[in-house]
Amino acid sequence: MSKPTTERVEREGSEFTHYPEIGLSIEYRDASHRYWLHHEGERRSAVSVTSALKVLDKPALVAWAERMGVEGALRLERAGQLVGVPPEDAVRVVRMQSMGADAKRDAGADRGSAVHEALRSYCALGTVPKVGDFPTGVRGYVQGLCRWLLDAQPEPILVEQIVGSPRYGFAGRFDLLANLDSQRTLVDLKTSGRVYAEHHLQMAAYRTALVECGDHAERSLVVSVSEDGGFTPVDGVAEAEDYLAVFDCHRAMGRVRRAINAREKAEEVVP
Amino acid sequence: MSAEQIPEAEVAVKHEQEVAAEAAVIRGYATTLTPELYLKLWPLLRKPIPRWFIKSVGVVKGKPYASTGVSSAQVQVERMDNVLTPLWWRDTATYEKEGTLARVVVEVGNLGELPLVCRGSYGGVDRGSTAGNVYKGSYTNAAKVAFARVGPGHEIYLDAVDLDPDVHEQAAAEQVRSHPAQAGTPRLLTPEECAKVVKATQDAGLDDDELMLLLGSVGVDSTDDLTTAHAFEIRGILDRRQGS
Repeated sequence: MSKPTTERVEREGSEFTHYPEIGLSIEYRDASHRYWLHHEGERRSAVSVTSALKVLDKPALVAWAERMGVEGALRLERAGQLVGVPPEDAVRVVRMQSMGADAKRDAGADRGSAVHEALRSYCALGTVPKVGDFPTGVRGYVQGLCRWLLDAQPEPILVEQIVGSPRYGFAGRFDLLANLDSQRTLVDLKTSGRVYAEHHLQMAAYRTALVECGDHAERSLVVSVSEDGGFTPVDGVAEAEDYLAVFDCHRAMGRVRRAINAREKAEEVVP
Repeated sequence: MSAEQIPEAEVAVKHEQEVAAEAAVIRGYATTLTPELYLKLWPLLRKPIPRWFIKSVGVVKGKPYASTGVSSAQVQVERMDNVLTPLWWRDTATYEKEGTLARVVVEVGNLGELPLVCRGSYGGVDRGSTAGNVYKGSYTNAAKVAFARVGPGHEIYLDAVDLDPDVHEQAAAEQVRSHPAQAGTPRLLTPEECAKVVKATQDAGLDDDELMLLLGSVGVDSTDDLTTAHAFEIRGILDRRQGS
């Protein structure tokens, strides 16, 4: 199999990744986090790999958000900043003061971006991450990344590559394709503290899209780095059909929602 | 354990970990305990035992005087292991008078060779709920002083005499005042020690980039920032790499 040729072009806010051998170009707009597939003379919208996974129930996320909100409220209360605030309005103050789940989620996203940038920089440019260059709260994760890089010694093939599936209509960006122990391995880095089932599905989606883009991976690996400087590599266990089942569900929900919206609009115009 | 005791326990445990880390740096990959190496390690054996491991007991039945000592000889055993590894020391006990009297001898040195250091002590009890408790009690009383004579806990048992190990309340109280928080910050490595760490990484086959990754994995960007704790961690990583 020939190595896929990719080309990235920034134009009008869009980033293009070209796969000339299969006549596919993938357009990505960061502002809207949306993808389009340019294939067989058509430009059609593609579902983001991770967006499709949002159809799954995440009870742990609800419990986490509740915990963050309660913690934030208690901290503000003890600091005297909720005096006179009606209980039903407390959540607004918590959000305004960046003490709730939203702020924690944003901080987590910033942390993830910083650690991913460190991985990209190392794999693409050979720049070893300097722990001292990162904010205090991120350093432990960077330590974990360094530890994994040293331990696994990946030989990078593709870094932060956008791949897409014209057949199914989804696209996404994986972190790394590298030779690990002589195996072509798709790697995704996580700072979420643990590896969830959704992460396995995500890897299955990237592997599926990678094949359509003319490449392949023999295995997938989710590497979870943690605040204490550790790392946990977890082999991906999901298959293409596992992700496609969720993807179908996502599309079914989209169809139903569109039908409901269409009917409501139709009812609005009826006198 | 009460809530206010927990931080002191953590401080005490950290202190012992720091002693272990510093000893590991000094030992390097040595497999033989030479007199020179022992003299470098000896101050670590004699570093005061954190006060959390020390207990004071008032007058009790069978012991008509207040006393202070280590709560268990185990903390002294741990210190011996942490500084000398389990390979470079051993203790033997002999019993008399149906176990009410024990003689414990602690030897430091290489297995099968004449010991570099040998210290011993008698210890005794006059009662016990079972025969096992009698033996255990006499062993413990002898061992605490024997270990102190080698180094760990010497400050507590300064003028201890055989049979009566828990004696130097004043000295123990003084050490409590002098070393309230022994854990402190891990010591920065000397340039010579840094060079030893770098040499160890080279011997393990690491190139410059891998050395930088190794430093990053313990949370520093330069060998100038390495402490004894980092060196200990690095050695663990290198050992695991060589093991795999």
